[in-house]
Amino acid sequence: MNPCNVLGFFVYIRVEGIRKFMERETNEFINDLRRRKPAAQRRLLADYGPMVFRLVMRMVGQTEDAEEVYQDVFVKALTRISSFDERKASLATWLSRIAYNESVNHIRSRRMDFVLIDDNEMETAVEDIPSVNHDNEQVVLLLEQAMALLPTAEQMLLSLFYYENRSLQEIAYITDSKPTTIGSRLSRIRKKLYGLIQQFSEQ
Amino acid sequence: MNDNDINNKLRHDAQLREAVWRHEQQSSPFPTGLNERVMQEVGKSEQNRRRTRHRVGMMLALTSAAACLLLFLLPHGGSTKEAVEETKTIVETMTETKTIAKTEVMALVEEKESVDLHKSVVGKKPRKKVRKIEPAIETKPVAQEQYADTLGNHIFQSPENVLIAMKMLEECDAVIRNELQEVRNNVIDATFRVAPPSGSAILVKDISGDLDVVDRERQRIIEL
Repeated sequence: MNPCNVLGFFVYIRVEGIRKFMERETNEFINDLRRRKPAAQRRLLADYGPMVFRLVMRMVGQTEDAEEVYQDVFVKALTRISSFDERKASLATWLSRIAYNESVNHIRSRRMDFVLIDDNEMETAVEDIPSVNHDNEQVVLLLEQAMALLPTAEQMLLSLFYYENRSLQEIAYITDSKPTTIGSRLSRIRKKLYGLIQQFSEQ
Repeated sequence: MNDNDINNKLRHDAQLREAVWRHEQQSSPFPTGLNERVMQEVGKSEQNRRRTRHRVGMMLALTSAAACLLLFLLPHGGSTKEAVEETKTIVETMTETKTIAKTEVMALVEEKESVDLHKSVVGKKPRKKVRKIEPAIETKPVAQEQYADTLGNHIFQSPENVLIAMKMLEECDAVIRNELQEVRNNVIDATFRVAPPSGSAILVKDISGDLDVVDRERQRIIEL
């Protein structure tokens, strides 16, 4: 018997055990939330609060507005936790979806500008990223500057994809869109960013 | 290019990832005390939910109680039949009692007649013609006729209706008595003022509210 196979088997058992333990923990946590236990509610706020606040802040822009929307998000989530279906999405994704919808509602109520993700957009793959003749650090700095010029919806998509490490499917669930649309949108944003840094370097 | 290709291409852009990371680090810090405020809000909404649930429960209980009370108090199909049966039984009992009483009276009369006849035979008196008493005829129960009130409800429809009718009669009786008393008092008062019976006579109202002329010296009621 190959010792590597034996080791691999034990690693698999260990990883599987941890996975099952985590799953059981999450289920218990969700059940506690459904039973409206204050300890579980506090844990939800502590664990997922910063992520939700970041998303809301990215969308509404102002801290006061973000705090208001944040409260609405969690009051809604904690009172409607019974409607959460763990088979459809994870708790973080479900909370992000509520945060996204609440932010859009807030933006609409304040008549602020927001570009919604449209499924009817031309789903074109963007291949031609302009070549940039700068070193790595310079490109990163320029990209960061360019990001500030993007609309809030596009900044939010970049944040979800690169910072929160959400998949296209998860972002599609949050924004009530199609994964293909999100992919195309992200490609277009990327192209736009590189186009902007090319303009910066030309200037 | 499929979803996976796009995903891989985007994911592998390390420069953009780094730029997004730096951009996110510049965002506003998480406000202190925000989660406490949220917990307070949740507590409030929880209280409101409980209060609403309590109110709804109370209203449901009250509605059910009122419905039960109405079902119990209002006459319905079954109870009307029962009431009619009840009334029939009472009337039949009354008729039977009446018939028995009549038979007993008849027996007594016959007995008296026979004694008289015996006396007349002994005294050689002419025999009296004995009046033939017809047997008691069963009368039709009176209560089967329905007496409707002004609203068209039959009084004998249910015991509750009979009770209500009796109460109304009592109230009418009291009103009539009060009216009569008032008329009588007015008459006595007017008569006393126009022609007082004597100097020592005074008008006195008793506990029941009746006016009377009393002779103070003799301590007697004077009839006007």
